[in-house]
Amino acid sequence: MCEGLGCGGSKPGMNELRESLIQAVDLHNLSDDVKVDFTGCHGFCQKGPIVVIEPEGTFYTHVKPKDANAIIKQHFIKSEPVKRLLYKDAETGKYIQNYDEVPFYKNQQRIILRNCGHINPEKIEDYISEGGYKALQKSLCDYEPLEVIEEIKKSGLRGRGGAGFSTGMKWSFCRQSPGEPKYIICNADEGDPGAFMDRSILEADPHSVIEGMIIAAYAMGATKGYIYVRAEYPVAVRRFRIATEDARINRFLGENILDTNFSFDIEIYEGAGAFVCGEETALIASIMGKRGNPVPRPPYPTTTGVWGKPTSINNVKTFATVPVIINRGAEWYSSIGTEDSKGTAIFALTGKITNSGLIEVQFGTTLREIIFDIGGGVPNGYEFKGVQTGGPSGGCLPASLLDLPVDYKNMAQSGSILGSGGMIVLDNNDCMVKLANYFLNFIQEESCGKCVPCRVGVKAMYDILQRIIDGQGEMEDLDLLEELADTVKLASLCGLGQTAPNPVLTTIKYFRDEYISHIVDKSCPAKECQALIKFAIDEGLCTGCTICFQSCPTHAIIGRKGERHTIDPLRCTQCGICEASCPSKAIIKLDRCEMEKVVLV
Amino acid sequence: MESQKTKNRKESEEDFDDNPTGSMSTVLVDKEEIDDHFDYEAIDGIIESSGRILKEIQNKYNYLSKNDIKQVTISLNEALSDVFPILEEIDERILEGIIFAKERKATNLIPILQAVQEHFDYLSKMTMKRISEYLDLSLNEVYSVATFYTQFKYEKPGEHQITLCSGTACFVKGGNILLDAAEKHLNIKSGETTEDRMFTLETVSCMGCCALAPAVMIDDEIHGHLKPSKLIKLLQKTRKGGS
Ligand SMILES: Cc1cc2nc3c(=O)[nH]c(=O)nc-3n(C[C@H](O)[C@H](O)[C@H](O)COP(=O)(O)O)c2cc1C
Ligand code: FES
Repeated sequence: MCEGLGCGGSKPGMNELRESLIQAVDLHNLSDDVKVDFTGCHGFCQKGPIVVIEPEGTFYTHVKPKDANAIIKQHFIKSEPVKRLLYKDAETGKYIQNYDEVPFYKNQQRIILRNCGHINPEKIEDYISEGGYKALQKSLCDYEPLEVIEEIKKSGLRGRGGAGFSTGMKWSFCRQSPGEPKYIICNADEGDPGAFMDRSILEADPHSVIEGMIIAAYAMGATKGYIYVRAEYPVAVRRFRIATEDARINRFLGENILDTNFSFDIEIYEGAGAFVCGEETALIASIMGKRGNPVPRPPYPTTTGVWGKPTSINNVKTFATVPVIINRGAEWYSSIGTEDSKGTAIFALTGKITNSGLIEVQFGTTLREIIFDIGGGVPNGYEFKGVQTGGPSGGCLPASLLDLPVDYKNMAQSGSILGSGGMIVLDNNDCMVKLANYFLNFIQEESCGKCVPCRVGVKAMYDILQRIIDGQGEMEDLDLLEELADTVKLASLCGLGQTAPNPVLTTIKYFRDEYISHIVDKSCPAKECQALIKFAIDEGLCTGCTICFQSCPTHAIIGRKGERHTIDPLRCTQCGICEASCPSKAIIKLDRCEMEKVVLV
Repeated sequence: MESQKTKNRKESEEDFDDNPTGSMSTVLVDKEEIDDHFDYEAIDGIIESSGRILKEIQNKYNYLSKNDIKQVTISLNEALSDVFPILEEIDERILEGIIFAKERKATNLIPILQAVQEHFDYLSKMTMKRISEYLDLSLNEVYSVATFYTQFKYEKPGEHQITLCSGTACFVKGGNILLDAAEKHLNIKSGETTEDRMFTLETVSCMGCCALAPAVMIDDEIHGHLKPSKLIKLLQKTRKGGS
């Protein structure tokens, strides 16, 4: 009944919470009626640590170890909820008791995340009691492999790894390719910084991925599967490993699965930290013990993949969807979503948003519904400025596109991509030029260096943006950027380079003004670019707590405890550390015009 | 002697069976075995059997967990350190144990590098050379693969590992300022180790807990929603010893 993922806090805190819950249960002699169990991520990380009382679904937020006693006592003995721990609706101020009624969950449709937060990921019984491995039985007993592929094709499922290729098609290519044995790979290299859905699924519901992989293997006639997990996800690796062990014991994996003549097993492969290894050809190279350099396609992995054999690579979410489709039928699945994108999409809502966490909605839901209805909008009274989707390969969409229904087609048309589903919400304190620069820096570091457009082109674009940020930009730079972007897009070898210019192109397209003020006025409207701003202290707000004084690395802050502080402009390097540390938000940033005014005064 | 060794191994094998997840909590090498007589043969035997134990685990569970390697090496170090002061040699034997536990295929290069780094915390030139010999690769090939991946390090890290997230979600919430603060406080750049070998500072792109942005991992503990002043306090606290 208790949530146990690191996302609610650091691990020791979680253990303490669990211990105190168990103790409280024992204390009140309830151990026969109440069981404390842990689940994977509920998705609503903002409110963590979360405790849910099942089956009725009472939803407690921000639970601390010292609250354990109150929960057990009041909830179970007095049969009334602990009000102060319930979710409080920010708008109406009302407390909401039930999980399903919390707006964050109410507006979602959870298919891929169906079990996340409801079952203990380390117990196969939990998964089976939720109807797990039924789809496998159904596929093996009732369907021929080709019928499985047909069903997936009909469902309209598209790969959730980024490119959105039809999964059924990929499987049938792989099946038709000559060469034995065939392999399948589950891509869990989630390199997109700001997305964590694959990790959450592996940690909260590993069996759904395993089941999906077995069904896929059956459909394609594969005998061996790999899962390539990011090195930074040790918990996911551990849970997945336990899950494969359990699946083996229950004869879902191994020789003669469920007493048929179909055999299949999964090997876990830990990545070693390289973004480009999410790209399928690079991933294959990495599994074979080489540098993760991509190679040109075709030939596609479905013809020559690992060890030169036909290989189908799919994303974690793609596999996790497969059992549901088999269980409930292609027709049901294809009734959800839009014409071109069926089913649901998972997003990791982060950045300047009230309710950050993992959400799942139908395709066709608008950005506004996602960000405002579910996400609760931008906090602290700031204004919504844009949303960045798809990570380093995606783009930034402005407020004017808020009513865009989200699906593969619309996103591509707007210049961004759906990608793996990261959604980073930005407010008016975020500088778009700086964000574009950030992504280019990321790509530049992660580029494998094999092809020139990506290696040199991205670096050149990065240098131009850096110049603009430093206030040295020229208007010609914008044209140059666009020209370079086109070349990099066209000429790069793999998806990394081909999509690298997207953040730059979309920010130029939708936020051109901002570039112009950097270049012409030498001013950063979001007041983020260090070279273009100055810091000052608002004397009315400063309480003289000396926190900024202590944290300033250049000792530019003058003032004693209890007295108003001031900043010595000669020593200040505009690092922003004081501003981020100040508890009373007394440090203000001045852009160029404001600076001039201050000087005049 | 021989029989005792075999017996020891038998016992340890049984231990594995009780532990289906592969974590070994029991000390595997009997300390008394060498306390009695200063016997190089015995020492060799112990080391060899540790290597074999690692190999057995590898065969049985298809992987070596960090815990397994740690347990074997702790017991090994304990058993040997009194009588066998040349630590490097122990290291070398452990290295052999870890390397030989994996099948001799060039495609195993990355898992071997990972296992070795897991134990030694970094890849030294000597370890890479041994790996290259074992796999019949040139040192150059090993190095070229290792340097492609950000996971591998080539210098002994400091006592405390400070990992800052430089992912997008953390970036927009001020992760870059946090990094700046940490760099200036510790007076090193990201990727470096302080002179007193207390701290190693690193960045990763996304730790997968973006809801806690900006996030910092100190040793194995994740701290979220950090302000620079708070991070500096944490660093000071860690330096004093109470993490
Ligand atoms: C630079 C780059 C990074 C990628 N990263 C990932 C990733 O982290 N996870 C993923 O599933 N796919 C990633 N992909 C997409 C894969 O190449 C591949 O298309 C996908 O795994 C196919 O699975 P799907 O059919 O289920 O979408 C990446 C592609 C590129 C070009
Ligand atoms: S971006 Fe920092 S944890 Fe994801």
